[in-house]
Amino acid sequence: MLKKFYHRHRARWDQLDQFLLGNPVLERGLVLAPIVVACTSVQNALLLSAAFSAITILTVFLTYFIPKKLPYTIRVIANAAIASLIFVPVYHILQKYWPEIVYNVGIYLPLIATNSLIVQKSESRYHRQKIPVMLVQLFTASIGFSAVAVMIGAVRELFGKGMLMGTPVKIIRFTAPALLLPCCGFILLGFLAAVLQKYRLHLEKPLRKPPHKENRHE
Amino acid sequence: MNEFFHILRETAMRMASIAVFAIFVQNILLTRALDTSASLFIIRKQYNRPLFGLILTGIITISSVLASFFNDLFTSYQWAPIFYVCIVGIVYILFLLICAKVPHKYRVQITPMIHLSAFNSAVLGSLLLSRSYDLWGQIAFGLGAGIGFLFASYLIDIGYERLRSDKIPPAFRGFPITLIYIGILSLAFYGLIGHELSI
Repeated sequence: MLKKFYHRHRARWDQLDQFLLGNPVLERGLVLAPIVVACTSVQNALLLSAAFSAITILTVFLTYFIPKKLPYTIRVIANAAIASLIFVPVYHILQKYWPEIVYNVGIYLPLIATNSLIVQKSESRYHRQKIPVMLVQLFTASIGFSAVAVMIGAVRELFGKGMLMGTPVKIIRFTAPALLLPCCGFILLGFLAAVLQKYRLHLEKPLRKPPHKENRHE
Repeated sequence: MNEFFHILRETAMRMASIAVFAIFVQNILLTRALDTSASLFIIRKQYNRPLFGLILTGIITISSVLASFFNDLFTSYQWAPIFYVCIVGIVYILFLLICAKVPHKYRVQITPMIHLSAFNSAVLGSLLLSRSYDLWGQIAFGLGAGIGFLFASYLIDIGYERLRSDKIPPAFRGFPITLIYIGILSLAFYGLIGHELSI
């Protein structure tokens, strides 16, 4: 059913979807570092997702109004500066309510302020769209990032620590702490990207034509 | 005079150990996963890797020198990004001004690399990671981070050609298998740190 829908609305799907087939992490390889290193639990993943969504959506929206007449270099610096300014209240809120998780994610939280969606892709992709299209793309990209972060965080927390959301899971009798290392983050992300690629190949396969009425009687 | 040489030797030794630490233990790409997308981009586009590494090392090192004078003012992560963005912005413009003096045929090659390397996570990550060092320590860490990036992207490049084989299942071809390969390289680097089995 989804395949039919995809083939019927392919152009619009490709334009708007950054959750599944245009996922910023799994399809384009952007903003990998926080997921590979810092998403070792669901809580870390949720905190990074919240920060990523707030900073990226607000920054790309606000920087849309920077005049295009300005040189590219100045626009890029302005994009990064605005993102860093938005980071200040975001960090303040997160630090106030979840200081432990903020400590756990370390440098990967401030690094979100200069992620490649803000610094490079805003100029080459988002700012070339109309505002509603850009907002839908940003929204789907944020959900896409969050989904990958939470999935990777959940697998690593469950099988690396034997816990979920900080609560021990009794069914898990053994743990593999190596899953918490960056190397396993890369490998898990590689397998997840392969699953998505398999699904993309399935969706892109041409639809089977329904048999003719005459043939059906035969 | 002897004391001067003693201090010089001590500083050089300390800088060398920090640089080696940055290359192998805190490798910007394989241990910290910073700038993976830029590394894959330069490999895919067949950019001049050593030149990119040189530009990246230059930007990190010069930004580190500037940052070292003000690090004490910003102890929290809250204000660190805006502070580092200002510093990297200055270095970015400086590099582009220098590049403007270079002959056109080289400028065409260098300018996109400066744009790609200025505001990436490797630069800001290195600045954040080396905050605890003094001026010489930050310079050494900056040099080590750049060399480490170059070394890691060279290792990825070696495998990248082989990973395009038709023998790889279609679902894994391209980006997924490259990530798994980087994961295995990262595991090898982790092993290099040295972990003894408890017998």
